[in-house]
Amino acid sequence: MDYNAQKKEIYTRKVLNELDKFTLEFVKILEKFTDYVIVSGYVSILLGRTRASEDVDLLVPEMNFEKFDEIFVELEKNNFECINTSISKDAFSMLDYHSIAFSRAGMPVPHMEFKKIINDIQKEALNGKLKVVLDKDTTNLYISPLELQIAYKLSLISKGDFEEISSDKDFEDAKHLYTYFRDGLNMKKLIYYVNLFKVQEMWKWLQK
Amino acid sequence: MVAKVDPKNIFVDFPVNNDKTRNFRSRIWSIKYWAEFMKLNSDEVWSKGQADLIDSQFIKADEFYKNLVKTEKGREVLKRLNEDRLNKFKTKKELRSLF
Repeated sequence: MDYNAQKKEIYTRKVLNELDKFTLEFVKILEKFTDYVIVSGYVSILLGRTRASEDVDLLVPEMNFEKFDEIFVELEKNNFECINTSISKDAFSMLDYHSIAFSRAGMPVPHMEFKKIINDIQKEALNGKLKVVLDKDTTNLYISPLELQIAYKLSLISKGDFEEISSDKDFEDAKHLYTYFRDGLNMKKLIYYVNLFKVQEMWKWLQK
Repeated sequence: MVAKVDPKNIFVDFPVNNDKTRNFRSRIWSIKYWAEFMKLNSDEVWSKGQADLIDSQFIKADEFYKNLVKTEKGREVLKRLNEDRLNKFKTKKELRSLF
């Protein structure tokens, strides 16, 4: 796996697993209509972490109902279904309150958690996104910048002592990304996010 | 040819006070070991192992859901699981302040 920070690209010839295939299938439809960025646990999994996940978290920019409806219909045509509701107008309204999920019809896992961008950090994830080029597929995947991803994962951990963090998959996801990509990370940027999220204590543990 | 990581080069400076922290240190050690394994080997090698692990879990999940829909009781369980899943989306709302 090669990371080119300047070009904001990661190139991999990985053998695709079921979660990768599901994500590619979904994104191939979505990207005809909108920009997107993948965040959270699946970023670590895509980049080699050895764990599965029931869901893939994906952020999309604000859009009007007409565009959302087009996506909804196209997903249904391609054997995806919205777990929350089969009515696109209801699904669109829900986005103001929480994420909605799409899975392959009849099979609730894995599913795509589809969220609307509502704050500056999420905008930053989209604007600074990295392209993951998969060798055996024509579709690329766009993921959150690694520095943001690592600090964000640390922010999800309970703010307690070492014992409290010691059963946390989020810390482990951050550890994987940090260990593998350490030489290519922009440390200034990473420290900026560590301070922004107030995760200095976790950051110390991450470097050990 | 699969390259091997020398375990002596993997070190985790975490305190061990009890079984929980001992397990945690072991897991972090494994994560560092795996990241080093990935660096030493081609993408095809490490990702084959990753795909075997992840795919086996989805095969099991697929079997589980297919078996559930076969019986009345199973369909009730499936309904409850789906309700739990929908509630999860609502309760995750507070996390939206970041991602």
